Amino acid sequence: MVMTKRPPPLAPDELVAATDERADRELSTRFIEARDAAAFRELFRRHTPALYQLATRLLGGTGRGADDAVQEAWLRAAEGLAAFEWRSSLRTWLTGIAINCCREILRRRQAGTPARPGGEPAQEAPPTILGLDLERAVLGLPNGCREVLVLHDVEGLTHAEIAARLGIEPGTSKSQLSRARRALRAYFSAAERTAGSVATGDQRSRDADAESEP
Amino acid sequence: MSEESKEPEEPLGPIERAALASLPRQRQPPADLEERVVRSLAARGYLRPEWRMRPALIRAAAALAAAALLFAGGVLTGRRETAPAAAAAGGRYILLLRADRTFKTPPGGHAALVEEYRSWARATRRAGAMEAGEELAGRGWLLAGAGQEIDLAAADTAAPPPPGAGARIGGYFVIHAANAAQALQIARSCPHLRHGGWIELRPIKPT
Repeated sequence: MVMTKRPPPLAPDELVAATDERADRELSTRFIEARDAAAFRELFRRHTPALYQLATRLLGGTGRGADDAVQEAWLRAAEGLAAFEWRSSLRTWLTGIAINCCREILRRRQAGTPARPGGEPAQEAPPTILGLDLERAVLGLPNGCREVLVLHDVEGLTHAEIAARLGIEPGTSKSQLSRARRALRAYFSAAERTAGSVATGDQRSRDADAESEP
Repeated sequence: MSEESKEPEEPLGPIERAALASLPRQRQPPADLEERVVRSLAARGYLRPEWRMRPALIRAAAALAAAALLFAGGVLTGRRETAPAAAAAGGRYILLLRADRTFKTPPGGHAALVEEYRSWARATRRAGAMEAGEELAGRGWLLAGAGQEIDLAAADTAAPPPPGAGARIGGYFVIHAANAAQALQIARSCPHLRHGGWIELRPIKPT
């Protein structure tokens, strides 16, 4: 009766309390000091969905890049966790590591793939349903623009924080954000025009049908 | 400030701001990512190797463990013993004994454990409170050491599963008690809690 197929759950008080930084600290201590796999798995499950979403957006939502970025982020976090001083939350610290991993992947991609001409957003077919295609529009932004827009408008970081994380000037962060927002706006303007023309066309078609009726 | 920063601001409208803010903040990773990371960390020495058994062995071991407990309690599956008149006015309850790897076997090993459970089962039977297994009612409680107790019927179904809910059931006891309070009292006296196990206490539907 002491055998389980799945990894063991944590002690009851730890699971009940595992919603705050204190839980992160306790889990981290168990992971570092006892090399406790259950504690690590709990940390992984608490933070990975947010890291994975961020990595997917930063990397443009393609291939297994987000998997690789998150895996590498956890490996680096495991190496550095003992020295982590908890001056920020664990989530913030992990996010910084994940951003670095994503940037390295992007650099490797850019080294092997020519950049888009002029650094403008990919001009895919405009979306026909505005809300559903926002994610795709964000993913279609050029790397630099997309990083700043995701970190500022989605993740809520300030320009100073973005500058520190990406190693750029705050002014560059602001200008990248402006470019990203302009690109998104142009993208959706095209979508609205497309939707409008489709609607007008539909109406004309219906009008023509009505006129042809006896 | 860089030259690029002289570009005009592009403030977001309220609809655009709301649309961006409404993008999901979490995304479930592929199912195998956790295992890949754990394997990598174990290979680098950051994690102790996890002890695993093949499913067939787990089932066999669990069955053996359950059989040992049942034998120790002197309770045979499907056989119901006569409850004393004093308890007949009450109800029947089942104690599902859950445990995982945190379960602490006493210094005397498995034999000592069996003897401990046997003693408790004999005492409980002498008190007229020991029986055997039937259909379970919907409500119940999950008990753990240090007096922790969760009312399963009152638990929010959207909340994470209660501690111990995933632990394997290694055995059970059916008891007879005048009411839920007495059943809880008997369950609390079971040595299983002292070793780090959990007990799920469930009323048995009257037939």
